[in-house]
Amino acid sequence: MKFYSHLIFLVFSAMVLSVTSWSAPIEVRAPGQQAIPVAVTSFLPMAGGGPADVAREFQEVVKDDLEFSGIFRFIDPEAFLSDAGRLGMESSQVDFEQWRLLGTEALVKGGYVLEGENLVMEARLYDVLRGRLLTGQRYSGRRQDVRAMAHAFADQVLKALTGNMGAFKAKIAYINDQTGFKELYMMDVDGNQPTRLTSHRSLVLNPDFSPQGKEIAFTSYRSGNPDLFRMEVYSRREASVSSRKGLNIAGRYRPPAGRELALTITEDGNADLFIIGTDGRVSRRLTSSWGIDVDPSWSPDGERIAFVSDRLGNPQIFVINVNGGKERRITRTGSYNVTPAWSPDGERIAFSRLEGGRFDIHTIRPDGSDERRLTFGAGNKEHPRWSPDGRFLVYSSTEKGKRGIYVMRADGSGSRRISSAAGNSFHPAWSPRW
Amino acid sequence: MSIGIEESPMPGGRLLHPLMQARSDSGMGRMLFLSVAAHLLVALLFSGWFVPQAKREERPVYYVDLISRPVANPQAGRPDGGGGGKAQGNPPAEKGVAPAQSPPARNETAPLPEKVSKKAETVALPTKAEVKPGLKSEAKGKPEAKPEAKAKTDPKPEIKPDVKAQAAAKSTEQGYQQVLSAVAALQKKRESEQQKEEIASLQERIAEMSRRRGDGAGNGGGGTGGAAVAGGSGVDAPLGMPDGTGNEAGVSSSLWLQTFFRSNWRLSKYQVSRADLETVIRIAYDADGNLLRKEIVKSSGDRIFDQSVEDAVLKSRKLPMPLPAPFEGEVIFNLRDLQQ
Amino acid sequence: MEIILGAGPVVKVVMAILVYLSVVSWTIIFYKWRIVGRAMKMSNRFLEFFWSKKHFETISQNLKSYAASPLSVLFREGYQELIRAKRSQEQSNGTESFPVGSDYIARVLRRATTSETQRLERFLPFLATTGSTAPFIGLFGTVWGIMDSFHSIGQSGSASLAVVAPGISEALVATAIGLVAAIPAVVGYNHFSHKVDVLSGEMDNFSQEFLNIVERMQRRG
Repeated sequence: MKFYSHLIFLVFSAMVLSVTSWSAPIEVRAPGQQAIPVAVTSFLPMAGGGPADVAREFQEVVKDDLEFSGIFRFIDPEAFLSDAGRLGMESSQVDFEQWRLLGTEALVKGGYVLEGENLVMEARLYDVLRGRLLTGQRYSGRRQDVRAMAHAFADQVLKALTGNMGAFKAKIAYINDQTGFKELYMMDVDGNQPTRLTSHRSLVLNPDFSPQGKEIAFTSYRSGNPDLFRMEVYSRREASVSSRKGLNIAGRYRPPAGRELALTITEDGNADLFIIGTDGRVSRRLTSSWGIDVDPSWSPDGERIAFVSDRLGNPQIFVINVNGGKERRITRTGSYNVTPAWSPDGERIAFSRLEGGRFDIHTIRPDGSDERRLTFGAGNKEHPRWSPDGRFLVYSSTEKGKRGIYVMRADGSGSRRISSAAGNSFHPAWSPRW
Repeated sequence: MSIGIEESPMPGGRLLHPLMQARSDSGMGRMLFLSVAAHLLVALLFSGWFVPQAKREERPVYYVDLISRPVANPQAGRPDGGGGGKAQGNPPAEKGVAPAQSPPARNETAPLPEKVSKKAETVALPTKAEVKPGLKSEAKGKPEAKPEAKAKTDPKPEIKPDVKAQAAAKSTEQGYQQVLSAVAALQKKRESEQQKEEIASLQERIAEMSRRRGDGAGNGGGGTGGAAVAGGSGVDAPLGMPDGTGNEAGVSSSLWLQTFFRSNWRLSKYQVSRADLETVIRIAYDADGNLLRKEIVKSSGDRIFDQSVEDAVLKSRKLPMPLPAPFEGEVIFNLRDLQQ
Repeated sequence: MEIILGAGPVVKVVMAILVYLSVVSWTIIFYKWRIVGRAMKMSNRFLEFFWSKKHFETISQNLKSYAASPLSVLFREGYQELIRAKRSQEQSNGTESFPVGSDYIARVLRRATTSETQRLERFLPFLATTGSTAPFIGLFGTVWGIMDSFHSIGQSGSASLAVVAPGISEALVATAIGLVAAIPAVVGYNHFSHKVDVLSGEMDNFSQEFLNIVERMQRRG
C-alpha cells in the first residue's frame, strides 16, 4: 500500500507537471488587407478619336459596381503612371512593374471603337502580381448599351476574382405609384433606365421574375379582384394565371424550371398556400391550417418553401417540404416576422421583423439558427429579396420619408438607394442575369 | 469550519501516511483505486472529451512591428513604444542616436552585423536604399508610415553603415537602457583588458547618449508616451516582446514572419463564401530571407482562398530583413479572426 | 486543462499536493463509507438477534456473521471474560464474590469500546486536516501565482487587462482546486464523526445492557 500511494502521488505529480511543449506552426488568422487594390483605367479609343464620354461612362459604371461589391479598394487615378495611357492589351505589352509600384493587384484596361451608333468595347482584367490576363471580353452593340456592357464586365471581374459570376447585368422589378396608381416598373440594378411595364390603372403588387428571367408574375386588381398575372417582359404580353375568388397573391416561380408557381389563394375562405402550373391549374395544396399562410419563397432546389403563417397567434416564418412533411417554425424570436426570401445558395433566409414599431431586415438559417440583424436606424425596411448571386439584398425602405428601393450587401453593409425620388417604390425583385 | 482539529489526536505519521496504516484493512486498496478513478473521471469531464465545452476563441496578440528585425533571442519587455514612437515621426535628432545603440549581443554574435555592413558599403546611400523595401510593404497598408519614410531619407552624418540593420531603431531611451545593462554585465565579468576597453568605449557612448537624451527628452517622452498604452509608467521599461527571454532587441522570427505574412495576405471576406477555410503551407527561407521552397500541405478546397495564400507567399519571396537563422515550418492561413 | 498546464512550477507543485490530498481524502471517504455503513447495519441486525435469543452460547456461535459490527466484538470480549470469570469462580469454589467478576467484564468492555471507536475513527483526522488546510494551500498557490504574474507584468511594462488577467486567472485555479479538495473532506469528516459518535453511544449502551444481564444472571445463580 505504501508503494501504491507513492506511485499514485508520483503519477499525479508527473501529470500535473508535464508541460506539453511543441513548436507551434505560425498561424495567420485574418488577412492583413481585406480589399483588393484595383486600378480601373479609362478606356482608350482603338481606332480614330471618338468622344471620351463613352469610355468615362463605362469606367464609372464598372467602378460603381466593383465598389458596391465591397471587395475592392481603388487606386487613385492621379497616381497612374505612363502605362495607363498606353493601349497595349496583351499581357506582354502591359508594364506590370509600374502597377506593382503603385501597390495595385488587379488592373482593368481596355479600348473602344465608336463608329456612329455602333460601339465595340474591349475590356481586360489583369493579375498584376503574376503579370497575366485574368479575363478579357469584347462587347459590341449600340451606343446606349454601354452601361449594360459595363455591368456585364463587372460581373466577369467578380467571376475572375471570386469564382462566382456577379449579378449586375440584371434588372430590378418594383412597384411605383408616381402615376397615381401602383404600377409595375423595371430598372437596372443601379437604378438607371426605369421603365413602366404595366398600365392597369389600379393596383399592381408583388412582382417575381421567373428563373429564366424574361417573365414576371405579379398580382393586379385590374378586374376588381386581386388576380395573379404573368407578363413576358420583351413583348409586354400579359396573361391571367389565377383569378379565383378572393386573393390570388404573392406568386413565386418554382426554381429551377419555373413551370410552377406557389401562391396564396383564399378561394375556400381561408388563406392557404397552393402550387399551380403556369397554366393556372392547381397541382397541389400545401397548407390547410386555420391561420393565414402567405408569402411563399422557394428554396433554390425547389424542394422547400418558406412562408409566413399566423397559426400560432402572430406571424412567424415556417418552412415546409413541398413533397410532404411537417411544417417547421424557424423564427423563434420577435412577434411579427414576415416576407421570407430564401438565398440563392440556400444557406439563409432573409425576412423583415416588426419590432419597436419598425420593420428591420434579418437573416436566419433555414434550420432556425444563427439569426442576424442586418439593418438599423430610422425607417421601415421591408420586402428583402436576394440578388441571384447571393451577394446583395434589395429591399424597400422609408428612411428618407417616401418608400424607396435600396440595395445592400448580404452582411448589411454598403446600403444605398437606387430608385429615383419620384413617388413611392416598393416590392422589389431582382431578376436573374439578364 | 467547525471541525475542530484539536480534538483529534494527530501523530505525524498518521497524518501523512494514513494509507500505510491501512495495509491491514482489506478494501482500502480498492477504495484508493475508486478514488483515483473518480478523479480521473472528473478531469476527463472537464477536459472536454466527453462534455463538449463551449470553445472560447482565444485571440492571439499581433504585434504590428515590421520595423523590428527578427532575432534569435528577443528580449523581454513591453512591445509598444518602439513602433509607436516612430509612427509619431520622431525628430531626426533622435534617429541619429539610434546607430550608436549597439545591443550587447551585437558585440558577441558578430555574423549578422558583418553581413549587413558588407552589403551596405556597396550602396551610396545605405539608409535610404536598404530601408526602402521594408517601408514599401509597410506603406501599402498604412498611409501613416509616410512621415517616417521622409525622416529616414535625410540621414544624419554620424549614421554608420550598420544603421539599416537597425531600420527598426528604437528610441534613445531604449538604447541607453541597453548599454547600461551591457555595462553591468561586462563589469561583472571584468576578466580581460579587452573587456575593459569595451567598457570604456561603452561608457563613452553612455556619456554621449545621456547628453542627447537630455536634448531630446521632451520629444522622446512625448513620442513614446503618447503612443504607448503603458503611458508614463512604462517609459523606462526595456523594449521588447512580452514573450521574450533573450537579450536582443527585436522579435522572434516566427512572430515577425506571422506579422509579415499577415500584412502581405490580401483577401476580401466577400471573395469567399465560407469562414472555415484553412490552408496550410510549408515554406522555407534561408538566413538572408530568400524563399527557398513553398508547398501547400493542406488545401482549403477553395480556389480563390488558396490563390490568395499563394499570392501572400509570392509577395513574401524576399524578406526585407535577414533572419537570425534559416526558417522552415508550416504557416496556417485561416479566417478565424475575420469578423463576420 | 490548459490553465493548469500553463501555470508556474510553484503553483504546479501546490496543485499536485492538492490533488494528492483530494485523492487520499476521497479514498478515506469511500473506505469509511463502507466500514461505517456496514458497522451501522450489522449493529442493528446484531441487536435484533441479540434480543431475540435467550442464551449467550447460541449468540456466540453465530457471531461470525456479524463480524463487521463493533457490538459483536464487544459481546465476544465480554462473553470470553464472563467464561473466564465463571471458570475462576468454579476453581475457587465460590470464595470470590461475583461483583469482582462483573468489574472485570466492565473493564474489558470499556477497553473494547475504546479500541473499536479508535478503529472507526481511524483516518478521520486526515479528512479534518485536508478540510482545514487545503484552502490555505490553494490560497498560497494563488498568492504565489499572482505575485509571479505581477512580477512579469512589471517586467513587460504593459499593464493592460489582457496582460494581467490570464496570470491571475491561472493563479486562482489553485484556490479552486483547494476548495474542491476541502469541501468533500469537511462534509465527510462531519458525517463520519457523527456516525462514529452514534456507534460509540450504541457500544456504551450495549455494554450497560450486557453488564445488567450478566449481573442478573449471577444473582439468579
